[in-house]
Amino acid sequence: MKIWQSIICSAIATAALPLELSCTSATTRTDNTFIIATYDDVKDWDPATAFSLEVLPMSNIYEPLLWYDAGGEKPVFVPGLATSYTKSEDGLTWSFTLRENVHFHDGQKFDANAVKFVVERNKTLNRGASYIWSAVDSVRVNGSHQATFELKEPVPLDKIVSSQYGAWMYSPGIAHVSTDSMRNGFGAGTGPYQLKKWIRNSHITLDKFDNYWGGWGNKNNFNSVQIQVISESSTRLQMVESGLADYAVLIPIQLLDLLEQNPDVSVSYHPAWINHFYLLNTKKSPTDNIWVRRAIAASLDRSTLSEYVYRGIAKEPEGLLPPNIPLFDAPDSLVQFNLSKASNYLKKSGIDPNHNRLDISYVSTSEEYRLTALMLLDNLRKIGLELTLKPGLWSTNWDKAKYLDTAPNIISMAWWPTVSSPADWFFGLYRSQDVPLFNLSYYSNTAVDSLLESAWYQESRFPDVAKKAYKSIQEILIDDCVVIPAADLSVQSIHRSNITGFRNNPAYSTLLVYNLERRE
Amino acid sequence: MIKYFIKRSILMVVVLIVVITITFFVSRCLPGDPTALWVGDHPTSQQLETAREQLGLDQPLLKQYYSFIKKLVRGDLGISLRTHQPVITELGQRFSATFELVTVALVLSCLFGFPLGLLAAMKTDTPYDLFIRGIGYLGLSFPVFWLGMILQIIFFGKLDWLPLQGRYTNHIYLDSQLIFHSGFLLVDSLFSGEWAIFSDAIKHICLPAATMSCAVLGIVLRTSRSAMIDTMAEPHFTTYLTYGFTPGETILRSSYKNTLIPVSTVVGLSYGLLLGGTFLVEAIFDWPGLGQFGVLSILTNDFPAIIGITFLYTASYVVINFFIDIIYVFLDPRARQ
Repeated sequence: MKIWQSIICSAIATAALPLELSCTSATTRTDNTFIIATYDDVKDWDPATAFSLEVLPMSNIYEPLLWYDAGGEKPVFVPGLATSYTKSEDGLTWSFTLRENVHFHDGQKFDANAVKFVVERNKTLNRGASYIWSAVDSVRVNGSHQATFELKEPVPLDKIVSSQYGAWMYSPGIAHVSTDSMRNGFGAGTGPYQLKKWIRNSHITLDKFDNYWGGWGNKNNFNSVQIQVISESSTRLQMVESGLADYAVLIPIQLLDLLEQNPDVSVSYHPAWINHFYLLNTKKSPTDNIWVRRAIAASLDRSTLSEYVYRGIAKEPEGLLPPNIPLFDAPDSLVQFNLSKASNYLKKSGIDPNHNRLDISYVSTSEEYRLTALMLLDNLRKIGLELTLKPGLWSTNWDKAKYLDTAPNIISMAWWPTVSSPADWFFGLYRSQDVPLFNLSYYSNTAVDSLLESAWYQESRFPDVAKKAYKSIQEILIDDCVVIPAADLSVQSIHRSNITGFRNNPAYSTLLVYNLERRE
Repeated sequence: MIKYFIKRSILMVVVLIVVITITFFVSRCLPGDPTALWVGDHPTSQQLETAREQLGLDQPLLKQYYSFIKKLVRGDLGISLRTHQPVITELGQRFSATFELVTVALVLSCLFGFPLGLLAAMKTDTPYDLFIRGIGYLGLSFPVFWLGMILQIIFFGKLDWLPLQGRYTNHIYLDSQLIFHSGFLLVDSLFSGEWAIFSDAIKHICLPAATMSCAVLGIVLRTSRSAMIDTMAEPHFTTYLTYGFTPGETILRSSYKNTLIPVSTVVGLSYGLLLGGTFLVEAIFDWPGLGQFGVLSILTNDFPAIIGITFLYTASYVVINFFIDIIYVFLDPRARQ
């Protein structure tokens, strides 16, 4: 009996361990390496085509011609590998003066020929974000450090050359790199850090590039950067808590409560250019009826979403785009949550709710989408509409949504721009498409198409005109009830408190380690 | 006996072909567009079309199957849509990590489970037996993810004795010069005489192997205990006792052999199960093995990787059990006939 008692007692004591042992002993690191714990590995080492998490190492290895600093009150272009630029009145010719005495990590010199090579290679590859260069007709070399771009259309080239995808300047030596070598890790940029080693699914080591044009005058600069792939979020949390990592990417909000009492770790949120929204199918019954769409839009309670579902990691939207994106002007009004209005809209639609069911597909791995779908289900039921929930992986949802027969009435979406412009959302999501790709509301409106094209072409020369056009597009889309905005997301920054130099810039989903230092 | 092994070998090949064929067709019928994974976020229609051609997905299914088998014969399992790396490379690197972890976990389970099982059998229905059986029950009932995290909190967080995650410390690994490359870090570092990386690898494998071995320890312990109790009821055991041998001497000199067959069967089956069930342990300890790769491949419909993993698991399972059959022959003279 005593043995059983002792076994039971020890079992109870062991089960309670996680409650008792919630803190981790801190490790004091003395090395000069900045360690980032992230959740997934690089899958494409080609700077021309990499289009995902690669931005983290690549933004430290490569540089663009211009950086776009959107972290201040007013966004500005900051010289990168180009020190200055001019554009012609018609916006079709852009000349860039390039920085001198800049070398690639493989020893080659950076000059106008390298710029020409990069643009032409990116266009030829036609993968990843290379489409950003589609408006470039040619690149002329006017002297070793002068490159002139001739455009087919007057697009805002300054925004294109500062994109976080597909705009990195890399060494022409890449032409001699085989596919296999590229797969084993490649880096030949001009940035402060160069690729030293990549151990697949484990870590990437970057070492400081001694010949970096910006110099290494600040003695507190980190000598190397290590990006560790740690798929389990609780392990990433323990790493930053214990000091094994200086920065942790994507920790679930539920786990962050554990860090509140820890003065060694700093947690903050900054506005990002990512938003969550729901597209309504305009071609499929019953959402082909605008009054049904309005009834759905009036059934979504955005303030409850931001307060209880997103729990402070997102803000209530002011429009169809994140409010801090340049050239955003909030539309006069969004459809507000009001169930009695929703009920009236449903009556106006003339449909019989008993014979019309709606369905919503959402990304099953996201708790926020799941809770939003449940809230919508509950509210729609109150006005007499039944909603069927169809959770699934994004690839499956997307594939079904591309065909009208299998498309849902409502689909969850998230968007972030490749080029820092409202046009990125509108071109991708609402421009008329014969075969839908991301226009999953099947929306087609010639007025929107022409406003969008004109706004995009006027962005660099007449930004105020473009701004008005983008506002008009939002109002048309709200009036036609094509989309229900849900939340404007914030980006999380979790790091050791003794690291300084962080500066939020929503134009880049990355961390520029060159600007950071460890406080003594 | 040779005839038997030839028959078993042919059966192994047939099993592999059937499993691969089923996996191929099932993975192609899964909903979702695999090209979306290949091209990344926000692709253009043209990029999707090009990717479909590159991956051969615009071809009829039977033609795709024919090209797949042709490539497989050459040892080419295609490129993973998720990681953009050859599947064979991914599997090669990850299999050794998982195999090493599972092997160490099984050795630990047998090392503790087998003697404890015999001891429990010798002391049936005494407090010792109850205590040992309790250990077995606890091992079986602890959820792996919970146990893993508890071990991390105690041995890394509180005591700081063992590392939190990974297979090695990055800088120690980078500074080492392994001259032996089997993919099994413990073996490579041992034969290369790289003691720093060897001790580092031992430290790293402790917690994941202990977590994983807990469940199997329970199985081994219970199997060896019940097999030993059966053996002790046999007439030959009583004969030994009448000759004046103690039960302990009888077991140590002879009777333990009778428990080896059921235990080796359980170990063989557990090997296969563990190889395919390492996901949680690998996720918690960030062990760069097959489990994580497999689950992520399934979740993202990375069909070349799914087929590759299924092939590897099937092959491992079949080969391990083939060897277990060979071991039977050595352990049990009756099987030789």
